[in-house]
This record gives sequence, C-alpha cells and structure tokens, in this order.
Amino acid sequence: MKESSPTLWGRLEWFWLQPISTARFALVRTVFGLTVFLWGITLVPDLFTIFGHQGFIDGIRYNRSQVFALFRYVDGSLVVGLAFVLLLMGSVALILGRFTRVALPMVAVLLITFTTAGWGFFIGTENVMRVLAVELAVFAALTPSWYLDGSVFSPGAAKVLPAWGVRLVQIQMTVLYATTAIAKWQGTAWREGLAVLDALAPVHTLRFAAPALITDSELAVRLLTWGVLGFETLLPFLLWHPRTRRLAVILAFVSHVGFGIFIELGLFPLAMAVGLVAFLSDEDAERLSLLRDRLGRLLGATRHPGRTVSSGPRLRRFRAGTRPH
Amino acid sequence: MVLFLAAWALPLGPLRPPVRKALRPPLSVLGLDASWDFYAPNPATGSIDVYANVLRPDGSRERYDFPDTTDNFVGTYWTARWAEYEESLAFNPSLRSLAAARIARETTSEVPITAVEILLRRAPTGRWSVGDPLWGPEELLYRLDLNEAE
Repeated sequence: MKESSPTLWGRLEWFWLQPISTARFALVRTVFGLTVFLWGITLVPDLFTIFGHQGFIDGIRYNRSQVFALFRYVDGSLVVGLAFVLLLMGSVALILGRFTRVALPMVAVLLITFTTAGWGFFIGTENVMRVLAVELAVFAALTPSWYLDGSVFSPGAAKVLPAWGVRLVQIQMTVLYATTAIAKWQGTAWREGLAVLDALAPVHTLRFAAPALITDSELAVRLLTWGVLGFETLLPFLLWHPRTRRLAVILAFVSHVGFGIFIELGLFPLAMAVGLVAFLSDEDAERLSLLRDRLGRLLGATRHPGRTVSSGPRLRRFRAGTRPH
Repeated sequence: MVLFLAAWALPLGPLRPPVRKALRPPLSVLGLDASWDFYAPNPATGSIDVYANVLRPDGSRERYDFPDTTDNFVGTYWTARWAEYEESLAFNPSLRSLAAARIARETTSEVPITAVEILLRRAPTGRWSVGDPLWGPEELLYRLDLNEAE
C-alpha cells in the first residue's frame, strides 16, 4: 500500500515536536549553566565596582527603554549581591540538572538584569547568553519538570522530550551565523581578504600578537580571511546536514577558540558552544551517558537505571508510529 | 518568537530600519534586540586607549587606568569587559559622566580633587605595520569639574 507524502503541517509538527533524547537537552542546559557560572566567576572582582552603590553604572540610563531588568525597580549593593548569588545558584542547578523549570527562567531574568544594566561593559558574549537564556527559559516554563532535569551523565525521569526547545536554539544559531556572514560579505575588508589582519591589529583588545607567519604573509592572511568568510557562509547549511553537522560543530568551536587565543573575546567561544552542541545528534549526546557508565564500571560502582515515566500522549503517538501525515 | 528574531536579524539594507523600529518594543522587553554583526561589515581598525586624569588643587594630575591584563592569559577573562567599556566610553557619550563621577569617588583621598578628565588616544593601525602603535594626541571626551558638580 502506497503511503501518502506528509503534509506541510505534518512536517512542521514533526520538526518542532519530534521526540529527541533528553541527553541532548541536558547537554545544552549543562554547557549553558557552565557558561553562566564561569561568567559569574569572572564578574566577582568587579561586581560591586560596576553594579554596587555608587558603582560605574549607578544612575545608568538604559539603552533599551522597555527592558525588564530588576535593577530598574530595586537597586543597592544588597540587591546586587543577592541577585548575583541567585544567578550562581541557578547556574549550578542547571549544571547538575536540578530544578531546571525554576532555574532557567530565574537565570534568564538575572542575565537580562545584569547585562542590560551594564550594557557598556558587555556586548557579544552577553548578547548570545541572554538570547539563548530567554529561549531556553520559555521552553522550561512550558515543559513539565520530568523532561528537563537529570545530569548530563545520567538521564532524568524521561528518556525523550519534544524537540522545540533545542530547535529554538538551533534556529537562533543559524540566524546568527547567516546574519554575520551576510554582513561580512558587505564589507570590503572581508571581500579583499584582509579582514583577519584588521581584526588582529587593535592593541586594546589583543591578547597575544598573532604569529608573524600569519601577519607577515599576504597569502596566509587572504586564505584565512576568505576561509573564515566561506566557512561562516556555509555554516548555516553544514550545521543542519546530518553528514556534516558534527564536523561543522567542531570546526566552528575551534575557530572561535582560535580567535579567542589572540583577541580578548572573554567567554564568547563557550557561549557559542551552548548553541553549537544543540546540533549534535541524540547518539552523540548519549555517548556522554555511556562514558559515565564506563567510568562507573571502572570504579566498580553499581548502576542504578533512572526511573522511566510516561512521556505524554503526543510523544507516545510519535514514538509508536511513523512520521505524522 | 522565531519569526520576530529572524526578522530582527535582517542584513543591512533598506528594509532593516523600519523592521527594527517596529520590532524593538516587543523584543527589547527581554533584551532580545541584539546585534549579530560580529566583525562586520568590516572589523574596527585602529587601537584606542581611554583613561582619565585626576586633577588636584595644586595643579598636579594623576593618571587613572582601567584594569588591563592583556599580558596575562587567564587574567583577560576578568578584564575583557574593561576593553569593551573603553570602547563604549570612546563611542558613547552617555556613559562618560557616570564614569567620571565614579573615578572621582574612587580617587578622593585626604587631598581633594578638582576635576576628572576622561581622555582618548587613537592609533590608526596600518596594514602590515610593525612595532608599537603610534598614538595620536589626547582628545578630551568629558570633564567633570567638582566645584560645579557640588
């Protein structure tokens, strides 16, 4: 009997609600939690210098007139300290996979609060963190807890969850890379093949001088610039293709880390890694669980399989049958 | 949400300003009105150095520098945001009065201060140039006279 081809609505529904392994969401959530935690740690020496009473932003005019930031309504060093402690606690909860449904929205609100109040101090890294935080928080707020919790090494109560939270992150990253690539094509320095040299020149953002092997060679500079431009142009496609996505994720991360060695990018490579790991397959994410099992066997620990509960009527329908028509 | 975020990220062109104007109110509530034009359309060329001079009644002046550990591999994770802040001060006048006020509070000691000046030096970076940047003259970005402020 010939099957009818899926309708557009069926395809869309499958795209957004397809069951994916909870290990995949756990991986995104954990890398995000780790990024927020490390970002918070790097903020410790300057926390009150910037945000405290009579700090650098005391009396700031927000450059976003409507932004929902707590410091617009309550301020003072005590509030800043409390908000910061909650941010760190939330990030630890995300790393451990506990109370995700509360922790993600809380971390999102606090990130909005800190990064929009201190907008003069934060640009690329914090923009990525804030936007991904809001998308993950929306997903967490609308999704039952048993899908969300569980360590990256040890799945929680459910084995699968609807894909739409991870899809939001994937689409955001695609938009981000596509926008950057299109904007770069509009720049003469990128088209001429000299942009990498310009990016490595300003001393106020330079970490280490790039090797002369690169900066003294016109061929190397042009190859590197065009290589970056070509790669970023193709990346939105490479990340979605099953055959290329793993390599694309690795190369994208390596290129961010590579530039981060020479330019002061802060935690930008790690913030981008949050979005990049969303493209890894279920199998890739579940390998981390296997790693835990192997480690456990090596250490002689007894494995306690996680409790499995119903994953809901919609997911059961998808799991039982083929793709919706 | 996805459509809004995708529309917000439209490339430079005639459509972008009206679309952003329409979408800014709903997106800015959650800080989603972020720009993704990293190092685009062209990377910024040239170096900047933003610092302050603290002036004392006897005419002496002390230089105030923002934290900088660019020669320390790990330390840059702590101070990268100060490099961002220097750029913000250089190109965004609305932050300068707050910075001057904070520096005045931080540097007030037994000897009073009369003014805080925030200054900028630029060093255009020529391609294929070698050696340290050639800094241009000081540009006064902002001056806070404390007698006036009081």
